[in-house]
Amino acid sequence: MAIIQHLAALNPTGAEALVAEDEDTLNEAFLARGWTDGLPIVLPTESRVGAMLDGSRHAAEESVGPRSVSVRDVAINAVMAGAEPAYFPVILALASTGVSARESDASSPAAMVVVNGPIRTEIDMNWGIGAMGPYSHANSTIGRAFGLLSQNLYGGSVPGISYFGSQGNNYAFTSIAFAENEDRSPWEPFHVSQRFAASDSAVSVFGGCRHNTFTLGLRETHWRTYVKRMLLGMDPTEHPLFALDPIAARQFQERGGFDTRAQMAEWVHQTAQLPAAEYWGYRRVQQLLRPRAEAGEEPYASYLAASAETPVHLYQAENVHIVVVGGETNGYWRMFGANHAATVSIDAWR
Amino acid sequence: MTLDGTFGVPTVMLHTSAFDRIVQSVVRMNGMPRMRRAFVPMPVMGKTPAELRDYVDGNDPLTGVPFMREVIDGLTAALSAEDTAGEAFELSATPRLVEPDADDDLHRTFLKNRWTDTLPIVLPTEERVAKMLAATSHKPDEMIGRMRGTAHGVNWGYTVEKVAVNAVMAGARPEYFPVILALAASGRTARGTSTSSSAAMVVINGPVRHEIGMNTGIGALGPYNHANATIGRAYSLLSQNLSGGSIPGVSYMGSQGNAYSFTNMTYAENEEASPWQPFHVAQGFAATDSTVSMFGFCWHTAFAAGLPDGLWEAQVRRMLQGLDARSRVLFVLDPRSARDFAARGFHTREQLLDWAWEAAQIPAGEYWDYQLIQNYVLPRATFGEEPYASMLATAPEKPVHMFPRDSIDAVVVGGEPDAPDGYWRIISADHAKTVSVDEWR
Repeated sequence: MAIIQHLAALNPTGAEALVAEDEDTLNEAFLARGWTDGLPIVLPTESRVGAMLDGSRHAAEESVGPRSVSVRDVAINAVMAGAEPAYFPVILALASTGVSARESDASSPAAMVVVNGPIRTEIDMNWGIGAMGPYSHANSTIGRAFGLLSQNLYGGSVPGISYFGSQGNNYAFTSIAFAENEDRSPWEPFHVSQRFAASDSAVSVFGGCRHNTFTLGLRETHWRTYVKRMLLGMDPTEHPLFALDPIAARQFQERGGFDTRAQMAEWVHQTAQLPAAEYWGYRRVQQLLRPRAEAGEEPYASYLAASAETPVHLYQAENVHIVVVGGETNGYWRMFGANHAATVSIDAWR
Repeated sequence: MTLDGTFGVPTVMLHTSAFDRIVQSVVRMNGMPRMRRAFVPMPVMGKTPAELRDYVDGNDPLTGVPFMREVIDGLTAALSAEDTAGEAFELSATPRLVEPDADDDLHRTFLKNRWTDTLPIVLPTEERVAKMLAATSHKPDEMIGRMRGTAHGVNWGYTVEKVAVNAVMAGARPEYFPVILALAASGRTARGTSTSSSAAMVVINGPVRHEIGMNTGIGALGPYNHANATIGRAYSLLSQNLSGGSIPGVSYMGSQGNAYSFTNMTYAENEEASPWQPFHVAQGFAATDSTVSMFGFCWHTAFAAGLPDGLWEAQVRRMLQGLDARSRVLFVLDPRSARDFAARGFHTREQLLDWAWEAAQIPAGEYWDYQLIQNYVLPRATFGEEPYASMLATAPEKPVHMFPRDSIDAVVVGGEPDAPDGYWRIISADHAKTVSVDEWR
């Protein structure tokens, strides 16, 4: 099988070519070579990969993204994940960002994928009940394809060799992939806030995803206290991403007077403050932000110069993001630690 | 249903319209298909008093009948013979075998019938299921448990063979089957219908960890080990398929869903590198026993690096206070951070848990205002249950403990990469049960 030999060449852990045998043997071989995430795959036969390639007008040999992977390489992983050809433009767009969903860091990050625009309905994505869970073929397999292409096309992801997350991250199986509930959001769609037109289809990638807190509703008296506690409970090197059920989104709009996302982000920036000594006491703030402060980068340089008890902001407003997802069975909402890495066009990959 | 059926108190069930189908299913299954009910529109949360008044004064969105007329009629009209007759029906199990078809078509059939989690499966052929069944001494037709997604829902029973079908679909190997049977026999679902979108966590202890090649180290919670991944996935698939299904809007009501639900954070404890006794030993098992522990809720994950001198207590307190007060608290520590905690004076796990219980306090007025505390804890306090009754009597500005002491626990998992710190998490995992794997060999 030419496809399998091709994959063997891509992933350094599978040096020798595979001889086509029965399906069970091939599945075992894929697993043994570290090409899967441990769950069953669809074998990337030439006909299946061919059908996947038909999901985009881009040529199989064309290069995708800053890591210069080929459209065919991406198609192989999309097939393995169980994706339909109709999803392929979204998966190519993810590859075009060059962001890895399998970043090797001892802190065990994962990725999150948010889809906006008309493609959401074209490929039957879920933004309602159960959107982040195992309830939508498009959501699940797009997210999984992102994980598999990251491990197979960006140098492998083998524990102790090319992956060093001390604990691992359970979100890495399917990268929390979902579509925004644009119709029920009180705000403009997320991709519009990233300068796309509402009629564009776009995919956004967030990194980190080590942290995730949740609550029900926004209480009239104490909501500011509760949200502040949630913000102060997070490692400040992650950035707040609010994933709001539409009920909760409207509550934020009404209780906070946040007519725009930017107003809410500014409130978050103002609310989350700690004395400078506490802020610089976080190990990851020391490791990741102190060098930038010492190089004079603001606002970190000023935070470093501040006296121990001076309050400093944990999060800059431009790093605080809000998406709306959920089916309004209740006003639950979540705050992830998720760093916005990219929002890119899907249409360019149709 | 309990008020009406058990105590004979005339009752009308009130729900928002989104719950129509699940309510219909639950009342039928409890023999009260004509249980009186009325619906208001979705949502209630976030609506002004005037809007809510309009709900009450307006029509039931499902029937078009004035809401209050349904309530009054439901409470006052006499029950007819039809109302109390119940309803006879067969719980239709799916046939043991589906019609033979090409592999690709069968995969589509499984997906379309919502028998999968939407990811590719291994088709449960008779041959593969037979191999799975050969890995236990239990007979294929032995009834081993019952499960339901919601209280008062149908408590579906299932056999060893049905569990084997789901284990094959998940991609599990026969040698993992005793662990999967232990999970199934517990009767704890990994796919509750809760609107909060809870997920499960699975922790394995004892010799079986190494017998089946589980990962206790680097990447243990991630997509890096066949046993971890497929055992966790089998638990999820059997939960949805053996308790009547998990379909959004019908039998799954999680508003946002939970990405942990694919494989339920399944891993083995790193007993060898832990400074404390293994988790299952703390639950009364012998170290030589193999066990599986199930946790529920799993809404939150608070992440941290290291335990910095002089500041760690304040940092951990902030992490705890950042959780919703309805959470449970499970410290999930990599070996290095577990040793860091031990070096801070926590020579036993219990000492750490005692400290966390004391550290997690907030003013009583703030505790009681959390929506989930109002929903689930306030009723228990008003019935006099301790410690909640005393907490309710506490002045609003006085501190109370956020989490019951017995809802706080710790496990050790992870490897020791060359990194500047240990990394650890607090996950809102509610320890439900620890059961023997050995009984299912």
